[in-house]
Amino acid sequence: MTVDTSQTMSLAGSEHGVRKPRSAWDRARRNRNLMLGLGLFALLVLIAIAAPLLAPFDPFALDYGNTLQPPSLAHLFGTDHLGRDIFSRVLFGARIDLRVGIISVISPFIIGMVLGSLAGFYGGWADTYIMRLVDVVQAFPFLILVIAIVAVRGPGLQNMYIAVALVAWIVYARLVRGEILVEKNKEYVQAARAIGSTDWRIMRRHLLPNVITTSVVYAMADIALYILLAAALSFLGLGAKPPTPEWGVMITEGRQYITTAWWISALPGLAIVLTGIILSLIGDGLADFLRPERR
Amino acid sequence: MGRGQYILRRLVQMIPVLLGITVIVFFLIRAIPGDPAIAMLGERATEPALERMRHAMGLDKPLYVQYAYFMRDLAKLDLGKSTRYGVPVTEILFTRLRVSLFVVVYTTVLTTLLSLPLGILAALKKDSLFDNIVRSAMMVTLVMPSFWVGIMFIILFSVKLGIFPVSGYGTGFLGHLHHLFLPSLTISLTIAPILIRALRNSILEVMNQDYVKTARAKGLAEQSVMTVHVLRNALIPAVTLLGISIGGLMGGTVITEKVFALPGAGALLIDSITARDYAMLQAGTLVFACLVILVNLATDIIYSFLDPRVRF
Amino acid sequence: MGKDYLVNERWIDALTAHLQAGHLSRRDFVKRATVLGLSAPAISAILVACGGSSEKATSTTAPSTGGTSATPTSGGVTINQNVTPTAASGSGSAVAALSPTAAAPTGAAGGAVKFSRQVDAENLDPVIQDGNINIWVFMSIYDQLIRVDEKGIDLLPGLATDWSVSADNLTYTFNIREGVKYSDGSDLKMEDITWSIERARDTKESPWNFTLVQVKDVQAPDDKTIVITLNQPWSPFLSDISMFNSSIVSKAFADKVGVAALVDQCMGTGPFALKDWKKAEAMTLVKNAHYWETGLPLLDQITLTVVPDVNAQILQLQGGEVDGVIGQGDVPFNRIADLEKDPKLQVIKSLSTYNNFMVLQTQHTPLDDVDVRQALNYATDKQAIIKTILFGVAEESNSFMPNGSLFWNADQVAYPFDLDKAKEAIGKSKSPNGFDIEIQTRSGNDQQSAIATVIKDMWSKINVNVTISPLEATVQRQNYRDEKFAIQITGWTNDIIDPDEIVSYAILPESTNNYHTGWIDQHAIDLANQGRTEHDPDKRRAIYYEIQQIHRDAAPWVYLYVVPYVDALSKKVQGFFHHPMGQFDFRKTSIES
Repeated sequence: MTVDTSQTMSLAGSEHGVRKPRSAWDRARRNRNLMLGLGLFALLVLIAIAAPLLAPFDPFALDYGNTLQPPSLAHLFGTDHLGRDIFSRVLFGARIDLRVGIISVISPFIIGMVLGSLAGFYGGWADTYIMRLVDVVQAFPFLILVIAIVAVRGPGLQNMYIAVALVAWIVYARLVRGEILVEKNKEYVQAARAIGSTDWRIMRRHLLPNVITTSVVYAMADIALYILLAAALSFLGLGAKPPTPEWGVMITEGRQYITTAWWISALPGLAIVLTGIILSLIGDGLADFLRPERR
Repeated sequence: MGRGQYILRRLVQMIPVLLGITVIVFFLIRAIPGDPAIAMLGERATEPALERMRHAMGLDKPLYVQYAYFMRDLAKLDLGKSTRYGVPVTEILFTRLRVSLFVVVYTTVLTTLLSLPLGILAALKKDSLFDNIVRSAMMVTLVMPSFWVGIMFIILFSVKLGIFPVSGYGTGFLGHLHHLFLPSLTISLTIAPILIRALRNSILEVMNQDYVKTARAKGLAEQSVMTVHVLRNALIPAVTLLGISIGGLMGGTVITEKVFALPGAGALLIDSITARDYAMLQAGTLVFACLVILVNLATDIIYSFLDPRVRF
Repeated sequence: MGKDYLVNERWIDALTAHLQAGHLSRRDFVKRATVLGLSAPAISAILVACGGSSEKATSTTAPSTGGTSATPTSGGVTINQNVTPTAASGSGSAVAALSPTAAAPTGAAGGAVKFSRQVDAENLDPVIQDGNINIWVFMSIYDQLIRVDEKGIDLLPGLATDWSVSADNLTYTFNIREGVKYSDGSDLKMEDITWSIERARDTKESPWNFTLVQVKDVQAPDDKTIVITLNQPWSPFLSDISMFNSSIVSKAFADKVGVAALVDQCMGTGPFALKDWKKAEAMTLVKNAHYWETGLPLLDQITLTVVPDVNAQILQLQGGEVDGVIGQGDVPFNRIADLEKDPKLQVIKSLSTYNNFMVLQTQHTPLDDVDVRQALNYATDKQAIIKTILFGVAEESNSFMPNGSLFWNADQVAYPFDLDKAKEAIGKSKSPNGFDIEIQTRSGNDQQSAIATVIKDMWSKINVNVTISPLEATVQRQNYRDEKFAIQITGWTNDIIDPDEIVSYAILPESTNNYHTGWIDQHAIDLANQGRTEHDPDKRRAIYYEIQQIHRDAAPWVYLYVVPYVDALSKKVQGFFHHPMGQFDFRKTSIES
């Protein structure tokens, strides 16, 4: 027996497998967190896209005469040890880090969904093998596994994506599998089978739309997590290559100046925190939005 | 099947998982590019020296033979000799493991101390100012990069205020408590938000359930209602999450160990990757994996005590 | 000199000595003294006192016995600039017994200190280890026959009290000091010396046996004498025998524990003995109670802790948890200024031979074109790098030999920053429109990352587009060995005072294919071989000057800068000395209680 917590936290909405669309938009509108989060996120994306227009300086331009300047009118966030404008770098960093977060989350999400669905739906050998694989990967210390994979491939963001894809899918697999186990015995699935729908059809039209929700909520949190992971890898020297203005790299480069020029590390750190908060708002909001109705 | 049998079954199931891990570790680290002999001896090493080192590390044999030797030694519970330090792996690993585990336990304690009261109070005072402040604060600490938080703590508490030492492990139990407070707090701040949120949510959910209303209607004292019915059920998901987080801490203390310069096992493993100390890496990952599995098992057992629906 | 100077007094003496002997011009003296932190009034005071020293090197003719007029310091140590310390006269004269220590120890005896380094030593066997991290430590445990003096210029008696050379320069006779004991109380035996030197020469795994390859024979005709015969006349020999791999190890001890155990067990005659070593945590050295220099060492115990994080190191120092941060490159240059302001701390910058440069793989197009290489050199603004990344604590380098070393050409004009000349050179080359190139750096190394970023910006001005590839340490080293790189950043420290060592790495292809650049110049090779058998110092100087010119013109490197050793210590630590050859000399270090 496996105590599967996903069973106790299932968010699948109704018995009929089809969502009532009427109240959804209303509910969404009334959900403060979700609206705020989505709004801010849209703003963030806009800033990232418009970075070349908004940035007062070239993020790569060095200025030997103006190194380690504190924040001022000329340089809103100050300059770093090579004289680069930190505000411009943070803006450009948004493009990189948002991309990092989203790309990092896509592969594990897809892999986890596929494997989790197979395991949950078919059971039997598929379930056993896949779940054993999950156990093995899960027992591995996560960070060490990621670092080892990055070590195999070499430093750089591409390789981080690969490492994350190979390691982080297990959460989604478990979530999806748990949901499917609950759902597949419900009436609407039996009904679909009765009328002769293929397995594929059942999964696609009936099961997946319902089980995807937990995973999406989780994915929101993961985006923030992967931005942090990229920063942590940069801290260990395995992240993005210089002179990329990635927030994690900027924090690491500023570490030795922390007592004299705190702004080099602090401000990109703040950017990460703000992005994380926005994503948390979306995640929280989504969770509330998708929670079954209270009586 | 009773609980005892269940535990036994899980322990037995551990073996194939560990085997899978040995395979992954073994081949993964050998896939890391770069001649490990050079990692040991430096780039000026002469070719005969490198040959001798490769032979000593057993690298001149085919992979499956190396794996066979590894498994044979493992069967004898021999974890091998560290190529970097020249002493049995266990000597260094276990000393460092003590440090990491101290941090993990300390973190668990701090996290619980933080999360329980805050989670419960936030639930009871739902939507109050207190609730909102706690939730906002937690949202912030959840997304702060832990190495950044660690560095800020050091600057504030160690350098400016001088309350805590800047780094290191300290001597004696009290010394450890003193030195490891900031590192453990740093990690707690990343786990506590998840627990507080989960606790708050599940308390709220449980409080709305029928059986609680029934208990109240029956006239039971509020406190008894709280502890017996509400908490016990509400704790379930929180305990699970705590267990998962603790499991994730195995080997996950690396960043904190580096920031606070703690002689822990996480830092040891990362350094072993760079140094290509295969024996240490293999042994270390296996040990961590065992710990993770045991923590998961413990979580499930505790869960089974809490949730009466669980049947073996 | 009073305590208000933050510079180690001995460096003032060393520089003054260089200046006196004409090895440095006044301009260079001012430059170097400023790098080391000497204040302007102090500099002019010295210049006035030394007044009128000419630019040319006037070598004092009498190489032996102290007390010539050119000696600016106390202690009876002769400053013999650019003179091979023995056999200059070729008449087999003996070098008088010079006292190995310039001044009597002044600090209080006793006490223990704790110093931190980011990385731990790995192998204390003098013969097979490779790395400053080890050398700098075990030089306190072992002695050699000959030592290098504190100014990094002269050779002094070590375990040998004096020595003489035969007229044909093939036989060296060393008189060995009596009454020397190991830290376990056993006596130094002649067979320890013969065995140690033979082992250093014959161990195939040693990266250093090239220094002893000319040693034909080591004999001990009696129990106070060692006679070494060479295969051919070899002017660097006395420097070679002073190198760390010729440390004298107790044979009895090696027989007892096995030679393989020498990587972490030691038995030497040096001022300290290894008491305890918790790998990756801390190493403890204790005073050798039987040390042959009376009154030394002053300290009872030295603990070297391993603290991998630089911020933690500085914080520990500021908090008084350690007495010093002494690892190579540990003290970040941007912190020097505020550490110096701390009333409890002192920052000591020591003259070094730590030369930093970029190696260009000349078999990798377009680096096979000398015009391209020269263009890259001209396009590099070294002063900007020194100012921005090193906070001014470095000196531009003009040669493959480190600044200030024996036979270094102070007047050689290398590549001052000149964009016009760079554009002209690249215009002449086979790639006049620029090209793409990769610089491989070590991931996690902030300084290399910063240098590469700055270089990328500088070279973009001549249309050279740089990609920076941080690589994991082992992969980077492997690429270096296998010559799978275009450009890497690296460095060098002299282990002996004789230029033959750096020359054999950079000019003679046998050991590393000339720093893996693949650049080979036969004329330079011939000159290098000549330099080894030539004993006349003036002739040697001419040879090495010509080699430096050849290297400069061929530009297989981009010269960058020479960095002093920087150590940050509590003010309570007195007498700390970081030797120009790199090792720590803890004999006269003491701590105020």
